[in-house]
Amino acid sequence: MADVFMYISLFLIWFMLFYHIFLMQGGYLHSLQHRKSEKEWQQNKTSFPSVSILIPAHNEEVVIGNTLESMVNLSYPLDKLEVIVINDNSSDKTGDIADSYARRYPFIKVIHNWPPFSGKGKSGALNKGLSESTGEVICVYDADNTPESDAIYWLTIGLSNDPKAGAIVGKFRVNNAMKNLLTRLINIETLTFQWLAQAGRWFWFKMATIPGTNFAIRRSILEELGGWDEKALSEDTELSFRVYNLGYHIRFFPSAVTWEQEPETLRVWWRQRTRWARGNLYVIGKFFMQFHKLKNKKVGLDLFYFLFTYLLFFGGVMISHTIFILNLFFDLNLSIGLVSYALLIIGFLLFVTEVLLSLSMEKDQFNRKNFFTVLLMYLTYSQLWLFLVVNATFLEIKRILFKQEVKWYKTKRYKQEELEKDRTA
Amino acid sequence: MILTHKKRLPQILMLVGILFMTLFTNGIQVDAENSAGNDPKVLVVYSSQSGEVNDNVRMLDLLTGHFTMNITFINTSEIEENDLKNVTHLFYFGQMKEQLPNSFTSILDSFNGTVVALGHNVAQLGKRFSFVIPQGEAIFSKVLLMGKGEKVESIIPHTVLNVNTTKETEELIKVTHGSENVYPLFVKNKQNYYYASSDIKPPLSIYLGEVLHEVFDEEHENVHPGYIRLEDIHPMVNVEKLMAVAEELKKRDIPYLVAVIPVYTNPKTHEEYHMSDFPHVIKALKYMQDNGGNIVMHGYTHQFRKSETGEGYEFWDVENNMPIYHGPNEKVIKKTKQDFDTAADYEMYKKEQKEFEKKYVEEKLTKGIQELTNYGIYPLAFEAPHYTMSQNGYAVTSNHFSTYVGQVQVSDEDWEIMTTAPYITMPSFLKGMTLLPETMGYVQPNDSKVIKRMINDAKQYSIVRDGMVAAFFHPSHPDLDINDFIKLLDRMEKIPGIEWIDLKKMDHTVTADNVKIETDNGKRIDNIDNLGLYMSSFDYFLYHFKETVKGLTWWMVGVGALAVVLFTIYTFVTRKRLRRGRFG
Repeated sequence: MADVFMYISLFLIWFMLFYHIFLMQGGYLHSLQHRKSEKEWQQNKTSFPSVSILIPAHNEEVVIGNTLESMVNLSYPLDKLEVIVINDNSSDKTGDIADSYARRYPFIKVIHNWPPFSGKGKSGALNKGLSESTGEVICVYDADNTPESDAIYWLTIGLSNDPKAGAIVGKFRVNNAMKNLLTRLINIETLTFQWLAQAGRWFWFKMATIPGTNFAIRRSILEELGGWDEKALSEDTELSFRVYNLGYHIRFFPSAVTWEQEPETLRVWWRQRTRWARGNLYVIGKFFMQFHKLKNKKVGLDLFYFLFTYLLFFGGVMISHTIFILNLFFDLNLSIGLVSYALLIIGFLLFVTEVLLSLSMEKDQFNRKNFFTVLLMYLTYSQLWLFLVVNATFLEIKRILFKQEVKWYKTKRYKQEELEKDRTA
Repeated sequence: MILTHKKRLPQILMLVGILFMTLFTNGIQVDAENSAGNDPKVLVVYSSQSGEVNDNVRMLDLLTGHFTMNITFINTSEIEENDLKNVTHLFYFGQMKEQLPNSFTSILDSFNGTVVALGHNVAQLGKRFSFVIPQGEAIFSKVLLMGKGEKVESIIPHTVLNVNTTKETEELIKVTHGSENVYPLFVKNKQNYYYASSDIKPPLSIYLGEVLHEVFDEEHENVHPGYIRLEDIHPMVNVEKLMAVAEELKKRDIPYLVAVIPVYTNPKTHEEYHMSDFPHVIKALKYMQDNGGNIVMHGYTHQFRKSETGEGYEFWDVENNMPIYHGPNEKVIKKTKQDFDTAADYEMYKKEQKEFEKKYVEEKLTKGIQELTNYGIYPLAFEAPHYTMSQNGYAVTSNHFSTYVGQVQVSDEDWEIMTTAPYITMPSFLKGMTLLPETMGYVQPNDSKVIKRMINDAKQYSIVRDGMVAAFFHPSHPDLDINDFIKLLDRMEKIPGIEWIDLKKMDHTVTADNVKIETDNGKRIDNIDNLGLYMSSFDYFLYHFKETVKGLTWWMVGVGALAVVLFTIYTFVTRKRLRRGRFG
């Protein structure tokens, strides 16, 4: 019996690992390719579309100044640019800071959102911002983001040159990566996610997930879709699915770079990730039920991926862990033998090489410290995810059973004193 | 599963082929009968205490089965003129003194084929046997085979029915006891032969077997078929030792037999272990199968009650010394004819017993064949555990196997009445099975003289022109090792005229539901309906499923390792590229 479970878990886990191998391969190929498109597009001399940048902000006084500062520094024709800060019921100085920028720079607008129209989370704020915006292209930045000056240029050039792209997704980097072990781990995770999952999926399937920040989307599409889904906790994933469904692809274009803050304490991290996980579970639920209605069945690929991640892979890992622990105390008469050790070692090495390959694509990340962090990551950070999924699943089930309303947890921000230093580190 | 569908096509074609063939079989059958007509037709007229065929008569069956498949047995009291129709060789076996019916004497007189009389009552056999005049019993301790080389062999003292013979009588075997006492044992006068003893068991069977070649006028080449059989290979066998033996045989290019027991039963826990749990044993067996080894099925569990595999008797209840007429836990009540009101009731009882036994044997054989086949181990012959099996058992076995290996139990009363034939034979009691007799025994551990004794036996059996020299060895026995085996092999290879039997090069058929294994010109043809097998037992499917899963896990390791290597290379390539100033 233990044998049966053992093999079930093995195949579930390795199905996922093979998919990751496949994606990583695609990610690597995309890293070779995207520079070529960059060059090509620059020569195409397309006109600049008008752009509206939406920045939803709820109690962001610590970071909003920096964010707007980087908006001011964007290299984009000012007559085509509009920055809209949606101050969503902030109780701190967010509104004041934003207003002061608006006074100084005519292309910055502030929308103050007070009850009863506020508190509908990021989706609500974005929808509000959308309604007030005028740009042909809508870009979104989180309030803690400091995009590099050419970010908008790259995002829009992507849309202009790729008519099939509904949205262009840039790359985000972590500006507090060196703060502590947690941020270093998150930094490694985000880079791997972007090169493996985003670049990989883009390369093979012409899909990428909108990450909630540093992306550009055609206004026409947002209008057709009726904006963001206010019930979705991970509005970005949800939006991605609907964009695919219209038949567009979402391009991952790493030339457009933004820098953002990551949680510095486990508590904040936990809350943020729980929201993501719940959000993804919501998306699974929403699209799984209406899968037959979807026009673009390619969505199924991502849907299946999520389903696999949150149910099957997760289940496989849980079974595998349980067997591992039980086997320490009881003889389970496992017949698998040598191959299980081989798989364990290869599994670990795959993790390490995939992460290191992703890190190697960034100029400042492939170093000894990160190397050891990666080794540590497998046994610590990666395992935390298990508890997170359990918690998120539990909360989602509770929500559905008791018909609770979703509450948006806003990620806590930190004052970034050493920002500049970090960037160049 | 898909594969099996594909495999079905040839089966369907075969079925069509068989249908066509049956249209023409009438012609073919006639041919077969004609060729059988050239075979000697033997009638054995015997006298015995019970009036039924007994162990001695079966010994004669073993001896004559070497020359013909066409043997009939009739008790002296039942013989009729008609029974001699087409008979070429008539044997009279006088096991005991008795008054022969006059009709038999006159039948004999009018018969114009070859007549061989053995044992008692020769004086009542009429004119034909007037060339022998019985004198009374005598003791002998040496046997002298006349003709080629006139070999003299010492044996333990036996009794001869001493006869005087007429001048023109030829003496083929003489026996002596001291230089003074010389008696004829086998004499010939025209077409009539007399064997002056009622004992035809080993070692006398050797001499009788040799001179029977003259009786049947069969030259037969002077070679000694031989085999070495690796015994009791069950799931818990010591694979290292087994492989050592297999490698040695391969090195010497000697084909051999492997007696496989598919299931091992732990004597203490009574737990059953199947080969599927011991993949290295299956691997070893497949290796042997591909390198000179031929598989012989040695029972299914090699035990009936809860004894250890390899120790127990599977097809004989040794505690009650009777065939398997009951379940292992049933209380055994032996009933005789007196316990029944009518003869019909008794017959009914016996029939039920035989039915029980038939079902039991059938089930074990079917399971064994199917299970082994499912592992890719293809038995070509059968050997009953401890050579014990009833006559009914042999009949049932013949439905599944065409070849039987080892010695044979020739009595349904006592398992210890067991014997061997001096050569390859097809006695009628094996119902069409060919017997590859074992004649030399096995290497007993801690017995320094055992190999010498075995070789001595081989020499004895080499007296017969095509006498068999065959032995067995327990590769996994804790007190035996490869050196014992090498000693035996070294000696056996030196036996003059030995020719190792390769089962594949003989004709065999093994059948069970969904399985048919045949040999053709040294090739094995396996006809297996996998789907049918899987339907008959989920375990058969499960085994293959598990094997596939295990294979898959190693593929996963391989592909995963390849990816690790690739990603490492990519990492270095990327670093090199970036150092030249092109950042991602």
